Amino acid sequence: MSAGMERRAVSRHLRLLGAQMRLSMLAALEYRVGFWTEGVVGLAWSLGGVVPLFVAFEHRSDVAGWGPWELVLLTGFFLIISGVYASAVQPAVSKSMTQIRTGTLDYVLLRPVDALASCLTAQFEPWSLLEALTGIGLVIVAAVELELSPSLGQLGALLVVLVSGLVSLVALGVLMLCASFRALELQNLTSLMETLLGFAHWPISVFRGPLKLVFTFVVPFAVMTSYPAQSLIGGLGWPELVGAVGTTLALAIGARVIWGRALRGYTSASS
Amino acid sequence: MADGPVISLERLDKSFRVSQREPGLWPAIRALFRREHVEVDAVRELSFEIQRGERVGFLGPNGAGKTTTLKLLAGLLYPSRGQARVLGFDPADRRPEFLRRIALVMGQKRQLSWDLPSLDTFELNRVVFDVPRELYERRLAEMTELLDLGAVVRKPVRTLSLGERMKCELVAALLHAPEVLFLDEPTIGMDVTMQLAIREFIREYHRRHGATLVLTSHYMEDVAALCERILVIDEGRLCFDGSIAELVRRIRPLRRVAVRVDARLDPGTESELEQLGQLALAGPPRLALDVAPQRVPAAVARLLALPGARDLEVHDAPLEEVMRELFARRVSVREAEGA
Amino acid sequence: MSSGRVAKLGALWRLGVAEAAAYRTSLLIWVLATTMPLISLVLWRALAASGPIGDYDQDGFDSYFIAAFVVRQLSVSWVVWDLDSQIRTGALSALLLRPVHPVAHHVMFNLAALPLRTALAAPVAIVVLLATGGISITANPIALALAIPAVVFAWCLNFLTQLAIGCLAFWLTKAAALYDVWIGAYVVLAGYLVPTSLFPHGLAEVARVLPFHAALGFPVELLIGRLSTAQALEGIGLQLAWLVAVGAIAALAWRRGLRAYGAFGA
Repeated sequence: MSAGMERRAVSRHLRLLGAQMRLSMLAALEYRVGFWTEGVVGLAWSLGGVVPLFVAFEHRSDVAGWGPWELVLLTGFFLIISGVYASAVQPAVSKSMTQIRTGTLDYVLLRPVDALASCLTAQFEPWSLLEALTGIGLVIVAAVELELSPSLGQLGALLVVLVSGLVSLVALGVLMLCASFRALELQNLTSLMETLLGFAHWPISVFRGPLKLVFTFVVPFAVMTSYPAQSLIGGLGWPELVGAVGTTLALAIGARVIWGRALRGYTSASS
Repeated sequence: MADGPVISLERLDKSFRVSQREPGLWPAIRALFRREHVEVDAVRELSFEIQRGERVGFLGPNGAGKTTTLKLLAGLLYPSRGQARVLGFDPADRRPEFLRRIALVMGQKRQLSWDLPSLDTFELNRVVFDVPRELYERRLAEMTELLDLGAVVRKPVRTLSLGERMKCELVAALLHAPEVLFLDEPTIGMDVTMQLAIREFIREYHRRHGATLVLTSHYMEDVAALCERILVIDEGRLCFDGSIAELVRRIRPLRRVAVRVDARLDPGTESELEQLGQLALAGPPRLALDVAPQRVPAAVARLLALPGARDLEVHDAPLEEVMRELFARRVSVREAEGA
Repeated sequence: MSSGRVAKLGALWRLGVAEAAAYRTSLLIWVLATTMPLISLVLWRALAASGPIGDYDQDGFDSYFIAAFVVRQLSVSWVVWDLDSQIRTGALSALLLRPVHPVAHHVMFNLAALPLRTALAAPVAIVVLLATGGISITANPIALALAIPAVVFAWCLNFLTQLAIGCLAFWLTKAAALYDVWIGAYVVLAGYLVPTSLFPHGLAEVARVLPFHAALGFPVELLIGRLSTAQALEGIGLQLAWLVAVGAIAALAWRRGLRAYGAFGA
């Protein structure tokens, strides 16, 4: 493929993203009650998940080496991840699963664009971004309270782990979608994922043994919330950085390969 | 690209794995540990060619493999064995250059966004299919006019009638002016006027763009009005390929000779007529006799000789009856084919 | 109860078991999605490594969260999603035409999945029991006897809450989403993530009289012997009070809702 064609393909996919976002926005505006059911409730849910952290501070001066404001910083990153999950990943995956069930995925596959790109932009919940915005606010407040003045290197590391965290979140979404090709009942995996995401509230240093490995390498919550906070506080070393990028690449490549195989087995539900 | 068939299938097979179990509690519990699967052949050794600009109809009973064949041709399903070529591409590769030149319209599945006006989905497809804005505006105007859509495209899809929705689905599928158009039951569940309007529109699209049409439908009128060539598919196999007239003659070789009469037949005449052929209607008001082609002249003469006989008609058996017979006696069709 | 009715309920039960078997994969995922207490266990166990937190030491957390996992498995129901979709799609009409009350239908279907659910959850529970310090159950025979009705009432409370919220689908399009609000509060306030007795003063007292705690935290604490007989009886009384309140709301919503359902002719 020539560079020109490649550039055209990229711009076409970007325009696809824009057009699908526009469509989702319009649909979201049709039901303004979504602001309350998706946005406010989602935020309340996530903030409710902080209660156990409060309880821990009732009885301890730190949680596994993390002080109160450091955990506020981590909570900020949690809200960003959770907001992106609720606004972009979960809706797109659920919508695509519905399309698999009803067979309207046919129309997605008939488009002259990458089918996975089409699925991942299938639906978008703008209201849930409220959560991500609150998260950004918390990160700023905590950074001010902790009197952080991150170096350029630290900001670079933050960027790397944040992107890694988001990419692995999307890759997990793709894997759930692939699973639902095999058996429709596996659609419940999104709720399992939501439950698990609750544990990204906690710093990775709290977990022990196999659970620590799982949350670092398989469902890498460490990469999503602990590492970004650590990158600002200081204490994120090269091993963690390399591990984060490696885990993310493995997840992303695995997801792409499995997606290709899942598509070959698509049976296109009739009616 | 100008020569050779647009579509060609060579010994195409498609089978699905389906799980099954007996009803009841114990089988349900047993299925926990061991699930039984059956291979179901949806399409078997299917081979045919379609030339550019042809209008082809797939006929066959429910579950015969018509829709599976369409989906294989559109690249939605990967064939288990054999080869398909459409516009020189392997459909299963789903290359963008291929997808930009075809469209599949399904009467039972919608692509329009439920809560939004159709125009919003059209706009999405414009971007996705890379249609220049000018061309898009022109095609949209042309199709809205042909389909008499007017303000309908500005209303949320959920508020539209079934027919209006189908019209908008057609617009969404045709904005990129596909060269090959696959239609799966496009008029299902619609009233007669709406069926007529959609049929007319598809015919007009074919006339203007010289597109190749491949259609499945439960409504014989759709197929009869739109398609010059019929492929009968049953149990995944091709069992007839030819024109409608040929199909009718093969299934129902008898022709129907009918007249209008005023009085009942007396038993003598009735048995005399039955020697010529089969008495299908024993009026008044209509008297109809199904006879072998070579007996048509004799039957015409005899019927017209009846007192008060008028309005003579000679025609093939009605299509719906042919179809009913075709699907009721599926075995004998294949025998007739000499398969 | 007449034998005809027993036969009908028996048929519903068998159908429910068959359905549960058919949806075993989703059931397994639901079991896994409710393993949250077990992850909390690991977490709080680690936090308690340097000494007890409140009146819970490491073994205390083990007992609490294993019991929470078990009670959660036994008291779960999903009528809200079924009812919501049946009302929206009109499938409820078919149930209303049967000579069995639709609520009885849902009760049987929810109960019928329990054996299979328990079977799927048992291996998880056994592994955790072996891996941790195990669970110490109350030595008080009265408390142990009271734990049985406490779990049954917890199930009833969950079921009736879901029924009441599910009935909102008669009027609203997003009733199931409203249940998410409830479950969000439940997760925090029921003692699912952390025992409510560890909450800060003030919050703890409020949380412990709410229905969330009655549906999980109370039976768990009773089971692991953290309540005196007097406290146990008090807790059961509180459960019954919530049952009456929620039950009345559910009955009202059901009756009103059916009228609305009939009005828009589903």
